[in-house]
Amino acid sequence: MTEPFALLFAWFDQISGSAVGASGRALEAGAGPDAILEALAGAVGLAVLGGLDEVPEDRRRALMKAGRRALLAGGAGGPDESADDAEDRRWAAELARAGLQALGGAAPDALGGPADPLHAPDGRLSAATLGNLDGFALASLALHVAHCTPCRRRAAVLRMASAPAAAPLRVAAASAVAMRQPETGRLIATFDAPAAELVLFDDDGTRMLAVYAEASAPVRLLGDGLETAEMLAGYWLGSLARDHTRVVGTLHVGDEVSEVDIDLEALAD
Amino acid sequence: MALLETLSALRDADDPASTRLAWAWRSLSDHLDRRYRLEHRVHDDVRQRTLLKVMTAARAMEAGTEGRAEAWLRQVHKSAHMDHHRSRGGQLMDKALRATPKDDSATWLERVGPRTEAQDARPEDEGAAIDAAIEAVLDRAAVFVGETITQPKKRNASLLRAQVALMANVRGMDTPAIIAALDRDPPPSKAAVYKWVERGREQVLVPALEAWDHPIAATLSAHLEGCRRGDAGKTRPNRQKQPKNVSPGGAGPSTRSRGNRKKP
Repeated sequence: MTEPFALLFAWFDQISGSAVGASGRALEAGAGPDAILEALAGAVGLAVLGGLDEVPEDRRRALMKAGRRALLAGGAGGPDESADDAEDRRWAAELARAGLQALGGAAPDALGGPADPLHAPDGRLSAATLGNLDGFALASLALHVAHCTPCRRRAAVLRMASAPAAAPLRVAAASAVAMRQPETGRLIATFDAPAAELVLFDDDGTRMLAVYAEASAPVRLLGDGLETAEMLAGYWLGSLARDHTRVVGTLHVGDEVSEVDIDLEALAD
Repeated sequence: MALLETLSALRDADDPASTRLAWAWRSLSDHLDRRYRLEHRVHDDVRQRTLLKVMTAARAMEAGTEGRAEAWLRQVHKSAHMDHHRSRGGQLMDKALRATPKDDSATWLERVGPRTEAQDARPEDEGAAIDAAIEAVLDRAAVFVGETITQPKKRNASLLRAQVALMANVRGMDTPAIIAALDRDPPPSKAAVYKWVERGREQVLVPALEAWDHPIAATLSAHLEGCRRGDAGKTRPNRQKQPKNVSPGGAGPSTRSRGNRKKP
């Protein structure tokens, strides 16, 4: 699960809702093919920038169904259509098909279509994350981001920053410990779901473990020999008992859970 | 979390986009919200731009105290604020921007150099300067098509063509390189790329630059004018590639195209 950009997600909710209607039927919503194709293309943006997993299943299905019909209906231009207009229509359809693939579960880097050939300027990337681009522009930009490592890292920074600011949570720790700088420790594990990293610190023989999560959600690492010292949104710090050489337990970030089993002695080698 | 600690963590990190620095980015975003809150829509964009600038500029930050860290961030934020207004091309709000020198003797590199005081270090090569210029122009072009073209699919297609024009006329890429960079399946023809360059330049870039109060605008307009004159003397690729049968009586096609024929 990827935490969505709130404004981008709200934009997609609005545009896809307008396209397929509350009933999930495009015809009843009165949306034209272009509006449906634009919403479909917008799904590419969420697939790449985050948040498509959060779209309700019935909305996704309704959009896919309406999208297929719109693609068939918009397949040919009129007799007076200029070459440029035909090209615009063809590119829009390609972006909508990419959205269809995204809604069908295709990975972001497997999506194809007329991507932006140049890196996204700060203003465009900002506009995309704030829901200020239209569906086609968002899709073209997102297709570039999906295949461009520097732009993907820039989008990741904005996503991390978009979560609510870290606020201290109440914990039953005897004494407060300041948030540790991860660079002063050793990275011993990386988790994809939930997205988080586990860092080991050696405080004069006392082993401390810190979890840094991408989501701004409560984090806990529960297991034998582990004792919580500090919790912030997206951050957990705890100690590991001296007689333990393995970190065995479960990592909780919000509602997501991952099993943890790390042999510290093997890492030392 | 103190600002100096946050910025120092971002400066010292091997990868500022690493998940383990999520706390720092959240903390910085929160700080910007508290410290620099503006009118809602402006603020959101300026905050995002500031974060992206910090990502690239933090490595050069030398602040050693909380006050200096705040001053450094203020400069980055001010620069992001100026970029926000510059991209919109209208009346600029920043007095500092009005005072931006427009020295006719400045070179291309000097004019298109870094736009932030935080990025004071001049790009090491011309490529980096051109990248910075392209980014600023593309930002402006996106605003321009947003304001002038109503249909979303036409807006996006126009901006895609403008990007191809930037690749050809500003970055200096030749047609095969552009075709490779576009990575389309099937690849576009040379004639299609030629058309996109022309359309992108004439329908988007040139008019977008006309109303743009930015040091790059005048220089780039003159540069595009030169590209237009350069293209005017060339034959379109499709005309070069399709020889006409000029022999009467259905004889085989001529091996010489009309486009390449020279007058005696």
